[in-house]
Amino acid sequence: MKTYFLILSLFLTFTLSFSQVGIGVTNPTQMLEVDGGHIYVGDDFYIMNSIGSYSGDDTGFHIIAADPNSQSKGEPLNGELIEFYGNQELLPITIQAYEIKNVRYHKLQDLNLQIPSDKYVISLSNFEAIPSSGNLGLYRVSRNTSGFFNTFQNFTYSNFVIETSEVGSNWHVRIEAPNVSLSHNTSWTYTYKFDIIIFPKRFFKNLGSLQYNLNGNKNGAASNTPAGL
Amino acid sequence: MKNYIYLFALLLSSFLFSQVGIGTTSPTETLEVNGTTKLHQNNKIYLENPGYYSGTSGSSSLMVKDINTNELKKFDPATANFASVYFTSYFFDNVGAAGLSSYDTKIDASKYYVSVGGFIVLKSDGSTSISIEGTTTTNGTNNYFPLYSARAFVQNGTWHLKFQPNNNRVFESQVDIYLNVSIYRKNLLTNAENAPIVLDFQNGTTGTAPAPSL
Repeated sequence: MKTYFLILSLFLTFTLSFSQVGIGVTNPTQMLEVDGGHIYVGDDFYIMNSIGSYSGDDTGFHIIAADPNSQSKGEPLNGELIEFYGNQELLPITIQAYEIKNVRYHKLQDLNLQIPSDKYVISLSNFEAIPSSGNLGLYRVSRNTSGFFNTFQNFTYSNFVIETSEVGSNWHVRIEAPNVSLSHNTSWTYTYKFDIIIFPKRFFKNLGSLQYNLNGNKNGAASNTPAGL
Repeated sequence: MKNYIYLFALLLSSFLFSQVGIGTTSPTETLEVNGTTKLHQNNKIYLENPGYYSGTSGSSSLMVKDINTNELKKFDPATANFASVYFTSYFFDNVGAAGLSSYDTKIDASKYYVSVGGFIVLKSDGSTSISIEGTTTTNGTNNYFPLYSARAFVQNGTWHLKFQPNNNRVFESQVDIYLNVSIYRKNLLTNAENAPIVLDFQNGTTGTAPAPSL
């Protein structure tokens, strides 16, 4: 009868504690050791903060992720913990170099990169312009020869634009001085080299363009941090 | 008495306890382990409903498996001895009038990808009015403004930086050059070895590039 009450009280508190437990393992060496089957966790899974930080080099680890479409015993069972092989997915960025040859004048008015803008955000860097033989540069728009005592000559040059933009469903690049005079030498061309850094939207967010009116002032402050940051 | 023990064993084998502690006598969760947990080879762990992370980007840690010890660890760039992307600003003081032609950063091109973003060019005394030399005759070079190269390139296995006005034009004096540089660790990039996409515009102004491998 004494044993009966002991068992009863045990199940009333619904708590058990063990020192070392093996499930499918007869001689566990760890606090909990599991073999011969899978572990299913239907609710939250916590790992205390005291877990160690990885301190090896950049080839000694794999990223762990939960597979949202995993299966077990032929049935869908979400959340299988898997490791990424090869591609670490730590830096889900692609760098693509471009070399665009024989651009008429300097006017790369539109280049369709065929990179879908619903999936990727891009930025352009590493720009280099290589003129064709004899190409002196971009011709001025105008020249003011009536300067102070005619000793100054003011030249007006067009602005030069390097722009990436979403056109339709793809990213496009434009590199040109839109208003420059083309009257001078039409046989000169440029080769443009640049890198496109491609960020997938499943990891990165495009905040879009931000517009502020400075109303003629030279300083400004945003009223808030950019939305979505 | 025998029956009661049998009942106990039966209930134990069904694992229908609401809270189990291993290495702890006061579990507060359904299963609480105070010590290491080992899952043998070919057994899997499924987290059916771990929830979605909705906190700020600075308050979460990526989980990684140390492939040497098989331990699950957190990945903390602040304490790791490498990072995936590095940002730095190079300042070149008193650059000759021809601009920066080649500066060896000694950054290993087999391990890293380097790209120049923004730049600032100042006169070497710090003032902002930069002049480019040219002639003022009717078809003199002052009628033209040169484009430039702000680029990182590979030479003899390392990344070099350049910032030059092209068309053989030179600045009127020595200049100071600031280059904002991004350094990407190649083996962590999704694609770092894509061949350059080369497109011949054939004296045109528009074109379509083949889609890169993503």
